[in-house]
This record gives sequence, C-alpha cells and structure tokens, in this order.
Amino acid sequence: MSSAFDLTGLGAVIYKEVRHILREPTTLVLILAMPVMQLLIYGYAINLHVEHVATVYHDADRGRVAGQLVSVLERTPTFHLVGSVASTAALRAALVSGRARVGFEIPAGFSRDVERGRPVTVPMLVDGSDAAIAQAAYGSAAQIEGALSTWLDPLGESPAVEIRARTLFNPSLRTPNFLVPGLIGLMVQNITMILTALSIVNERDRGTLEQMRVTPIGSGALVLGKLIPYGVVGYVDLLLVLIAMRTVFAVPIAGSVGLLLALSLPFVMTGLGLGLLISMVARSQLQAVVMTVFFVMPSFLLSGMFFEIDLMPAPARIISYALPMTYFLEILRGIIVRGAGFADLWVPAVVTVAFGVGTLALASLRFAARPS
Amino acid sequence: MVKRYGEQAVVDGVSFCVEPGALFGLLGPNGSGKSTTVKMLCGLVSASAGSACVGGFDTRSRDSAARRHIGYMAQGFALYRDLTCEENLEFCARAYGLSPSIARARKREVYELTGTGAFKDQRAERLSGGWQRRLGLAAALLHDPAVLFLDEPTAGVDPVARRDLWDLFYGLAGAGKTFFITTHDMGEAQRCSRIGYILEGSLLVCGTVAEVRGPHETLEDALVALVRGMRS
Repeated sequence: MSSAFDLTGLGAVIYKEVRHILREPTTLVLILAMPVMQLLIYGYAINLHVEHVATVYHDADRGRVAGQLVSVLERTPTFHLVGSVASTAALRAALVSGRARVGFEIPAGFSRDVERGRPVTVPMLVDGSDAAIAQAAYGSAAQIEGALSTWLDPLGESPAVEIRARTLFNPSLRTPNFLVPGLIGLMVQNITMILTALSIVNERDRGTLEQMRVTPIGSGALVLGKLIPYGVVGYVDLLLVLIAMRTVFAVPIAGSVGLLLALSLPFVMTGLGLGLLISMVARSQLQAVVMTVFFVMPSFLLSGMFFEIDLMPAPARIISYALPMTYFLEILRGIIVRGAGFADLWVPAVVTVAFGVGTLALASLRFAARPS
Repeated sequence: MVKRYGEQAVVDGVSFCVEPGALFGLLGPNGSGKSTTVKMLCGLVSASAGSACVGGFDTRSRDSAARRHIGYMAQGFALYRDLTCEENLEFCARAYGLSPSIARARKREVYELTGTGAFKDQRAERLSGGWQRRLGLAAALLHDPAVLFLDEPTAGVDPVARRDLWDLFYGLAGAGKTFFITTHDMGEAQRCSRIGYILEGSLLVCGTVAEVRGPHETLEDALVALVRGMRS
C-alpha cells in the first residue's frame, strides 16, 4: 500500500513538472519576470514618508506678514502649494473636490494684528479621508509657527500666531472610513474581471465556444450575453459591500448614493472589458489567473489607496494614472468620505466612463473579429 | 479548399461533392485534416484558398439562414456539463430562435429519437460517453437542419452504443437528412453511402465503398495499396 512517505518516482514527477513549466514561454516569462518587476515598481513607488501634500490658501489679508506665511508654507516640505483661492467657500470646495488636501485660511487683519502683538489664529483645514496626510499636516503646524516667529522676532519674543488645525470629512481619522471605500472598488473590479476571463477561457477549453459559433448567435449577442449576467453579479456585489461598509464598519456615505451607483456602472464595465481582453490573450486558465493578479496588484498598491501618487517616482506614477482604479478611488472617497458631487468629480468621472466604454468596446470588437 | 497555417498546408486542395440525403464518410488517420475540413464547411475556420457551398450557402457567409441549415457535433463533448440535458437543449432552442411551442415539440422529438428523454433532468456530466454523444446529436438535430456534420461521433463509445448511433444515422438519412461524418475507423466507413480518404491534407480517393475498394478484397487493402502507390 502506498504511504505518504513512499517517494518512488519523485524524479519522474519533478521531470515532467519542469517540462510543463518550460513548455509555455509566456507563462514562464510571467512567473519569472513578474515578481522582479513588481518588486522594483513597488519598492520604488511605496513611500510612507508624506511630503508635498497638495495645499491651497485663501489670503484675505494680503499684508506683509501674510506674504511671509505663504513663503514659509512654500518652504515647508510637507506642503506643495497648488494655488490660492478667492474665498473661504472656494477653499473648502478645493478640499471637497480632492484638488487639495490641506487649506490655509489667512484672516483679514492678520498682518496688522501680528505686528501689534495680538494673538492670531490661522485655521488649517485638513482632509481627514487620508489619515497619514492629516497626521503629517498636524505635525507641520508647530514647524510653521516656529519659522514665522523666527522671522518676526529673531530675539525670541514670540508673538502668538497659532495654526489651528481642523479636520474635515473624517474628523476622528478612522481607518475604515479611509480604507473601506477603496477596498470596495478593488472587490468589484476583481470579481468582474476574474469571472469574465475564466468563464470565456473555460468555454474555449471545453469546445462550447466553438459550438456556439456554429449557431446563429451573433458575435455581439455572444459578448453581451456573457457580460450582462456578470455585470449584474458585479453590481449586486457592489451593493452588498456598500451595505457591509455602512452596517459592519459604520462608514457613513456623505454624498449622493445615486451618483455613486451611477458612476459604478462604467467601472463595472471596465472590469468586464478587462476580463474579456484577458480571456483573448490567455491560453489557459492558469495564464488568465496570473494575468488578473498582474492587474490586481498595481490596482491595490499604486491607485493611491495607501500611498500618495504624487510621491511616487515617474514610472510608477504613469502606471497609477493608467489604472482605472485610481480614478474610481477618487470617486469612491470623494462621494463617501468628502460628500463630493458631480461638479467636484467630473474629471475622474469622465475618465471612468471613457475607460468603461473604451475597454468594453475594444474587447468586444476584438472578440467579434477573432476567428474561433 | 486549402487551409494553411504558416507554411504548412493542413488541408491541401480538397474537392468533392456530397448528394442530398447521402451518408458521406470522410476517412483518415488522426491529423490528416478531417476536422479542419469539417470546420471550414461549418464556417468555423476560414479557408486560405478555394470555397465551398453547403445546401446552397457559401460557407464564408455569416448568414443566420446558412447556420440554421447545418447541425454540428464537435469531436468530444461540447455541451455544458454542469447543465441538465433539458437545459442544454433549451439553450440550443433559444440559440436557433425556436418559438416555445416549436421548441417543446422538437425537444420531444429529439428526446424520442436519441432516447435521452429519460435523462432530461440529469446533469450532462453524469451521462456516460455514449449518452453524451446521443445528447450531442440531439442538440445538433434540435433545429431540424438539412445537413449534419458529425466529427468522429462514435469515438470512445462502446460497440452497442455505436451500433445504436449508426442505426439512428441511417434512419435520419432515410428521412432525407444529409450526413457528413468523419472517422478513422474502416468498419465505420463501410457503413457510409460514399466515402473519401484523406491523408496529409489531400483527398486521395472519393466514391462509393465498392468504387474505392475496386479489385481489392477489403477496403483496408485498397487504401494500403493506394497509399503505397502514392508514396512510391
């Protein structure tokens, strides 16, 4: 009787496994090159040190000291001034839209009050949807105060300029509020992509796709008939994870649920289109799975879910901006955490729609044109 | 018809004619070009050169009337294993756009013809090889096509099931259906009204079994002599 310790024929099994691995050059390249490539990309791209946070300011004072405060901000590595705005409302809007993460509000009479030695407060609005960025901004407040007082009074008689941080959107800096919306996007993308890719590769392997091509079923009907059910599955998944986010993780949806569901549709379409494209390139189920992983990893690490895209080196940033997930993450965090509306999110919305329609159209046309 | 993959001609200038109601057998060893020929005739593979006409339709046509005219049973089981027999046939009925009442009547008819009715609620994966082939035939017959292309329909089937399947083919051919069957089995080829022998992509001979056999004692002797003559 054979036991677990019976190693008869081990060499034979290893021999044929090695032959299998060497037989498919595409799989070989994928399994050898992918880990190295991913390590290089992620090793360089992932930067936990927060710097160059997009920052706007509203200068209602326009005095000498206010000008100095702006120049201190320019020199503080944590911040990257992306512009000034004309009103308090515009300052808030810049944060809601995601254009800036931090906003400074320099009040009218600021320079005069400082010069007269009166205590002055400068509100700093911080986007709390990303805890790491918020913490970095808090940490820089004392640094700004220090730099300004050194300039004002080199002798050390420091006037009372206080940078008062106020966190918008996720004031308690809860991790689920920051993380869960992004994870929702990943789940939906992965499930639609993997289901579609495997379902078609499976049909091709079993010969049923060929059998279908003999029938009067049109190419368009074949593609849509495959995609619609998986699209519905993806959408139901989205609803389920949204409900779980709301009930289990107690993450409120600050913006419009209708807008969120509407903009999820092109994202689901993107997942389906990618699955279809993978099914055309992959020659086996194994290859299809490896290829989806190849797509899932960067969507996880480079979409801005954990690490700021602006801090990544150029090659990684290019990948980030080529990922549909990057834009959908903007939409998810915008609507769920910051309560952003379409006017704030039209750029990621347009890109997401373009991805959805483009990927699906390209995949469908190629699928239809392909001989069996 | 010619089919080339790169430099290699898999089917090399095959030309023949099959009469309506015939049981035509394309005989040849594995890799001789039988399946590729069938796939070209079904419009699954485009010919590199030449053309063919099936039931008056050019095989290059993607016309749905042309598709309705033919039934195809692939080599190996190509229906959905996780679906029941009934679900598989329902899918085929919808694929061919049969109305519900016609679909019901046709399903009843093919169940009866192939004897698969007893298993209608069983998943296809539970059926034995012979019954899977019958279900494949039921699916190919469902839309009542005039021409049936069966690619090695009895491969891997036990002798009784094989005999039953051939009885079925005869019955249907007698009712006016045209069969195009590929096989590598000499015995099976002898049951056809006409045969062609294909080797390395070339059709070496085509005619009735008696014509192909000629002065030789058996069909096998005739084909051996033919191949030897060609090679020398």
